[in-house]
Amino acid sequence: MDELLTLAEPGDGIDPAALEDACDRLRGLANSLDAAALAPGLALADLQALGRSATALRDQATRLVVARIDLLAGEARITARQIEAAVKAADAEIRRAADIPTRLRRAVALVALLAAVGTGSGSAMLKAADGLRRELG
Amino acid sequence: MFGRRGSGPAVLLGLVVGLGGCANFQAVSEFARQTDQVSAVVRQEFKDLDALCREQAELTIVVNNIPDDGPLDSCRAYKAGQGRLAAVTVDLLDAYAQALQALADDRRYEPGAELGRLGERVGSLQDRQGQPLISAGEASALANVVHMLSDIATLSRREAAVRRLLQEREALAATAGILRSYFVREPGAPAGRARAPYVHQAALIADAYAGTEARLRSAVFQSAEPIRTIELLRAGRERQGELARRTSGEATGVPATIAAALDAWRAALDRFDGEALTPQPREFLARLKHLRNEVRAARSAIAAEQN
Repeated sequence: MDELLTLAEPGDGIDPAALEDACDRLRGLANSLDAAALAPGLALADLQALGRSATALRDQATRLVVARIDLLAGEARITARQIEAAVKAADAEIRRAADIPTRLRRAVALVALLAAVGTGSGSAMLKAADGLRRELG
Repeated sequence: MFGRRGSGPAVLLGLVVGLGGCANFQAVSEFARQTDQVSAVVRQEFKDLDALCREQAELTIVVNNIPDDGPLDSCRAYKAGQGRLAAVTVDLLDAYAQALQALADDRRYEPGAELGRLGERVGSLQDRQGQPLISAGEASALANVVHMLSDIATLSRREAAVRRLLQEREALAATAGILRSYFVREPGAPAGRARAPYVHQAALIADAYAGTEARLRSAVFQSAEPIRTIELLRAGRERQGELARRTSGEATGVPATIAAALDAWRAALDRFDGEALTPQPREFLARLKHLRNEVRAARSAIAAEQN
């Protein structure tokens, strides 16, 4: 989300169709976490934690395409392209993580960003994006 | 019963000529019945997909030890969002079927407050500026169907009601098109429905089931809770077949058969105004027969899931 930001005006929103690729990526990422849970030697708690992250990502993928997201006027005008870029970067870094705790932390940060997207609040999105950026390193 | 008073000979002559001589209300009745069957199939599928979503959510919560109702809330959000538009369109088709049947039976169509509520729901879809679930043209088509039904409810003469019924073919076809685009990708669908919402949701539910099943099959789960694991696996396995046909892009899959039924309905509608009220509506009856077959195929696809 490094593009020059402008303020959202009444009526600005994010079209769900523009987030379809992001949703596909989330779906793939959730499936990769499910696959990671099958690695031999995992403790039950780790296995369930991976399952929770996969579930949270799928929940967000469902919510993103349910309806248009109305942006709160006067706050940062976040675009679908920026969200798509954030999801793409997070996807790569989560898959790249060497250990499960890192993978889970990154997934939690991504879910937090997506939850913020659902609120339509540009400020909340920027704050969550910052958290994700720090988590991805 | 419809009143006959006030219809002058000239008007009657015009109506009789206009309606092709002898109105065939049996064909109207059959179209009403088939319209009702189409909406029943769609309604059943809404119910089944929602049930699958909730079952999957419950299973996911248990297996992953999730402390809240997040997955269930997600099912509710989907139902309240994408499902809302589809539900409005199927309610409109239902109301249309009721109006058709009333006319076929020579009864007055009396929708009561229900139609008013349906109109409000259509209006609220239309009022959401920029709402990507519906385009201005589609909103107008849905509103036209509501207006037509309101008019029919106030017309005292059966023939006049039938004539009004015939005036909104395009709006009715558009209504069925909106419903179709929920199940399969519709060329030219407005933003937000470039991909069929049903396909997206069914795929996510199937993924979740597959992930949960794989987890339950892992050695760590099997050794931690062997009996419970077997029970949960059995419950999930019953659903895998249902989901396979819902995510299938084949012609025998649930979304494709429902789309085919809606196509057949639109094809019948296309001949309705030209033929339905004529003494021998051959092409219309042929299309109704095709519609019956497509509805049966869709019902079988859904029922196969439950066997």
